[in-house]
Amino acid sequence: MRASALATALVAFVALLALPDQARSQAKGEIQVKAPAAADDSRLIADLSRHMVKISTDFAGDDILLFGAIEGDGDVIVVVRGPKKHETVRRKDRVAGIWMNSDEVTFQHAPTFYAVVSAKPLTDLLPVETLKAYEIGIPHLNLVPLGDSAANADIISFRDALIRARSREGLFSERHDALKIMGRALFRADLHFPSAVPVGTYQVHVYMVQNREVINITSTPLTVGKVGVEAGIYDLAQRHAPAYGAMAIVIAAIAGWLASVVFRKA
Amino acid sequence: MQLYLPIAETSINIFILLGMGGGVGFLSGLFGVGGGFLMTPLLIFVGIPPTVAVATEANQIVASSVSGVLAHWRRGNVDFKMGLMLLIGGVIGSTFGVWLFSLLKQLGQIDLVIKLSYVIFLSIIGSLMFVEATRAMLRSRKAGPPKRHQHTWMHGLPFKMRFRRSRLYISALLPVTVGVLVGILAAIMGVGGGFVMVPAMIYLIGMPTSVVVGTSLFQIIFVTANATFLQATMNQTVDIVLALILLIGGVIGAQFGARAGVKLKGEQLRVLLALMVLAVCGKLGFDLVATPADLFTLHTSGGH
Repeated sequence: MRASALATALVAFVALLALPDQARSQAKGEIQVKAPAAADDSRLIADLSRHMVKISTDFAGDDILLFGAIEGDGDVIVVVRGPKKHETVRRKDRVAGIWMNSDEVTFQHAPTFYAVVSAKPLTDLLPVETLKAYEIGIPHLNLVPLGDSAANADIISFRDALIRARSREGLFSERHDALKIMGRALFRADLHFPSAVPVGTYQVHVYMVQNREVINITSTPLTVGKVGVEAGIYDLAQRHAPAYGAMAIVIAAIAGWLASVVFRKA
Repeated sequence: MQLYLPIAETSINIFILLGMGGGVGFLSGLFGVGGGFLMTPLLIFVGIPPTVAVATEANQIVASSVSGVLAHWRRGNVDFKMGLMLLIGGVIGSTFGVWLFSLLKQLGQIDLVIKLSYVIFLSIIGSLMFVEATRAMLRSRKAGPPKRHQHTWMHGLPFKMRFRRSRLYISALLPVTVGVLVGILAAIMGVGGGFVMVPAMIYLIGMPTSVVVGTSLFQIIFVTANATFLQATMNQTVDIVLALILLIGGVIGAQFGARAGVKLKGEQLRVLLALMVLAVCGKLGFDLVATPADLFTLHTSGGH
């Protein structure tokens, strides 16, 4: 009897672990904080100056303005989340004087882009449990290791390595001075996207915080995509790969021939 | 001037790329090497993803080799017959090499195998060539040119063929075998194989240095064109915009390189190539032993 109850609890626990991270964070969120009001609640409205980051030939990063209003006292935290992918982190170890890959850990559905913008340090606004529940702040990201790699005892250093690499490329960032609240009602935040920004659909979440609790959430989508020549070339490479390959060779051959003709006359 | 590259998915300064293309193109025209073993690490260094760097690099070498071959051909320094024999061997070898590559990949540690074989091969080839060429240089200063042709067992092989440009009468099996071996290496190491092919043509086949460069480039055109096509269809990693910028620099550089090569003596050329091979080898060896800045590396895969 007792053994079966234990087994049930274990199954429930495993099931919770197996849940996609987003679903789990929502489940946790409901337990730990009051269910936030609907997104169209009048106490919090926010929008972006543009809903698309257009990647064209001269793209070298982009800035988008997020603006909005809150009703009543409160603070605002903005989180931008990019598309998620599996990420394998490998560690090198020295074997007979040579550095070679040894251990590896794969994180499931790790965000390729993650930015937090607020007016104050996050721990001044919310307790750590709440930050973890909503995955607000880089240290509170829920990065789930895949399968066998979860058994690795040193998981923390792999997690840190992933965060370090992303931060180096400017894809993970946390800024506590880039959000301005004006006259206790209006707010604005500058969202920066570096040139290496991954393409895909992003979600911009705005959290309204009062008395160390999240009292409202709204979200708005953002698309990062290639336009014009960039999009054309990318599509050709993906959809008509043999033609694209042949074209690349022909262009190279013509360029080589052209150079030799030009230099012969010179 | 920043430019966004559609396949590499990052933006980069166009003048840095032009400069890199020109520099590597010069060496390509001078030595008859594709330059992939120099360009690939450079591209990765400036922030191009490794898979895109390797694939795009092959595309750019097509252009600089065509440019280089035409320049050498006008001076009568391309042995097309010899090139064809090497190419036949190369196709056989690289097919086998691709198969071997996937086998090694399954066993793991392919990165290490690649780097170690680079270091071993480059150090042997570089040192042998350096010693031989330095001796030849000293000898030519003292006395006249040495006897080039020595009769060995290789000249007893069947299927003898006359290679007029190379002034050789040897078995066709010899260039085909060299082609096979270089093809295997090229496939495993992911390079055109010029830096292995050039010394092999000089020392194993016994071709004159002046003809070696053009003939090697002729053969590289086909190897890299094949690689470009395979990469484009299998991995979609050829960045045509990146290739175009690199090849503008590359084809111009190759022309200057071919001109500079004419002014140099064969043994001087070999000493310089040996020094370059040894320098690359030293860098690779150092990287294997030196503590990396970050012990961890990232590999993004599917999922969403």
